[in-house]
Amino acid sequence: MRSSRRNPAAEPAHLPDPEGFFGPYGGQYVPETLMVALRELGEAYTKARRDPRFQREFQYYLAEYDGRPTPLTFASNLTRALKGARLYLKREDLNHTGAHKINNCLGQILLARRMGKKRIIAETGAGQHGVATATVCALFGVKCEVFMGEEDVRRQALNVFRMRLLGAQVHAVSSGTRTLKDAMSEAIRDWVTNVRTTYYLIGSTAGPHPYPMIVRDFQKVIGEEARRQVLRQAGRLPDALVACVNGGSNAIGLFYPFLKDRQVRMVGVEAAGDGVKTKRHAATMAKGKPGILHGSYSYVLQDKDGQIAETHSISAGLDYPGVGPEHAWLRDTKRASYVSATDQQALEAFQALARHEGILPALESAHAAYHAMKMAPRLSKKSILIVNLSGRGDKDVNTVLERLGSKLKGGAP
Amino acid sequence: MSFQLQRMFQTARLQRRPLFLPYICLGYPSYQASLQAAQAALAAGASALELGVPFSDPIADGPTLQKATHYSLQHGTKFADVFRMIQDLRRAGFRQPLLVMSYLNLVEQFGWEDFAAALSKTGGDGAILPDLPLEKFPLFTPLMRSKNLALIPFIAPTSSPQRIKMADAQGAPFLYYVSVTGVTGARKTLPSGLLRALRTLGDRLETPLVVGFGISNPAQAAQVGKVADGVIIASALVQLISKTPVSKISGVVGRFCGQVVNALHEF
Repeated sequence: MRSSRRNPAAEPAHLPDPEGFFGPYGGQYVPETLMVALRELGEAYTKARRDPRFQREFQYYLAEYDGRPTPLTFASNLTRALKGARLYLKREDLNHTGAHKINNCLGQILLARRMGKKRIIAETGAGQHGVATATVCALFGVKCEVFMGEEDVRRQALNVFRMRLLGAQVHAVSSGTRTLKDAMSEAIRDWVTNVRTTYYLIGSTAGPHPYPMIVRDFQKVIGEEARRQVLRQAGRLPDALVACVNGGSNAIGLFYPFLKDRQVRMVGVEAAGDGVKTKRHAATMAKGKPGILHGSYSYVLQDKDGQIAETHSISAGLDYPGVGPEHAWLRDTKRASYVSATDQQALEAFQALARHEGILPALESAHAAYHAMKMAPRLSKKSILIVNLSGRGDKDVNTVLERLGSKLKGGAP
Repeated sequence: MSFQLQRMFQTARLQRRPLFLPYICLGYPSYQASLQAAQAALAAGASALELGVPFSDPIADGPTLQKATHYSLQHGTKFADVFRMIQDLRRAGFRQPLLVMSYLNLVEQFGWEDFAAALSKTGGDGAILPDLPLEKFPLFTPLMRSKNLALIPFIAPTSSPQRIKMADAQGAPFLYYVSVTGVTGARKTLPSGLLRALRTLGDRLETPLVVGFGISNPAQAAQVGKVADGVIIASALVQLISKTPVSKISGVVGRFCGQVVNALHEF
């Protein structure tokens, strides 16, 4: 916002500032009813963060329930085929429930328990965060209600059923465009109404402060592990990190522990859908403008009046019209750069990983993989790229079938 | 025009006559129909108007206002239409204060300077933005005040004593008290404890208190009017409009607003 303080000297690793700003981005633009709840959450989190018992508990569940650390796999076949940089895959697809989302859910459910909240609500788009939330709620025996756009409920019937199996109640949201952004608006409305008893478990680095910070902190385990693993396996830091970005939780989780390693480039890959020159995409950084959505100031896809735009991506998990405030700041300060990949390109990478490495990546992660495959041949064979494979692709097989079914032939790559 | 608001509340306190601020959704069901509704409300004795400008993601609004604002947007309502509405109401001779109610992003994209200039030029009196936190008021009140425009702070049942003090210290013509922890919407009964909470609150505040969210009919308005300086009705009025054929909106809105005004004056 035009009036917010800017401190170019601020070390990115120390952000957000106490009011929740990353440069001008972030903040708490929410109805007054929620201000006290956000303060309460911030205070509870600050205490938990410093409490070794909390950290031990979090680490315990990450290891013994989630299955961490996840491997850093050297993609030798793909590397050979691309004749360039060495590609490493951070295997978040091997987390319990099949994506990085569970890291954050485990952290936040422990926080909710500390705060004595008996009811958890969450928003979900494709259903991955909804499933992860329902999972941790089942684990801790807490009531769980998930808001999901009517359109997504229809498209992702299997994930809806999965959530119900896990004991969650799924509310189909029929307002607005009936997708993720409306699910999030509805979750906020529920929180405004039940703020005294309810914990809102946000799944991405979106929403008002302290959420972008909390989600980042619970996801930074991705980058911490990757940093240790690459030093052990390759003996040095990578040249670049590549991750898909929508709200941006898997990307910030990978990037954050490398922020001080100035030589490590960071590249976020947005969903370009049919192409950023069409109207059907979700490339917020490429085509959005700073604005306020869901309590946070950041880049937002919007029309001239400031009405939030509709998005499109082949990947249901990349269709939020905003982006986490920390990414906006990393972009402005040029610490990270942001590019995009189309539906078609993501499908190419999806197939390449399947054929060369025996891995079906989530279509979200395939966007990152595509860009890494584009970068690799232009880099020397000594270079190292780490791609965040944020989730597995089983959930997307139907979508891919629709697009490729008739064209696909078996046999060698 | 913000002085006018201030004076209006002072007079209301002296005469012990609570004010009535109905909400009209711009462009619902059409620009003309919403203009007629606004005129009818003002003619029926509304003390001031809240002109709601639709936003695609209204996080503080319940189903009624969501539907109305969504419909209005789908039918092409633009942010700048609110200035046209203010101008049309002034041209029709109405003098009551007119407040723009919307969400922060629309003002942000229009630009605060331009917003204040357009509002002041057309004869508006201020803005109510539920997602503008108190912490950010100092950034915009000087600009608004320089044009004699008001920025209305909210307080909620969850507000801490500290935040209530902070809202009170803004020098606003009134504070918008959200009667429920929840979103906008008509409700059958007033929240329990509301009247007691308002009495306690009123004693502690310098700034007049206007109550909104969940007040649905003249009787409820009268009850709240006994312990507050004013009453806002939004969803109930929008609901009424949604059920009324366009040709009758004017009459129905006028009658409803007249009943509320009478109920507020009767105690």
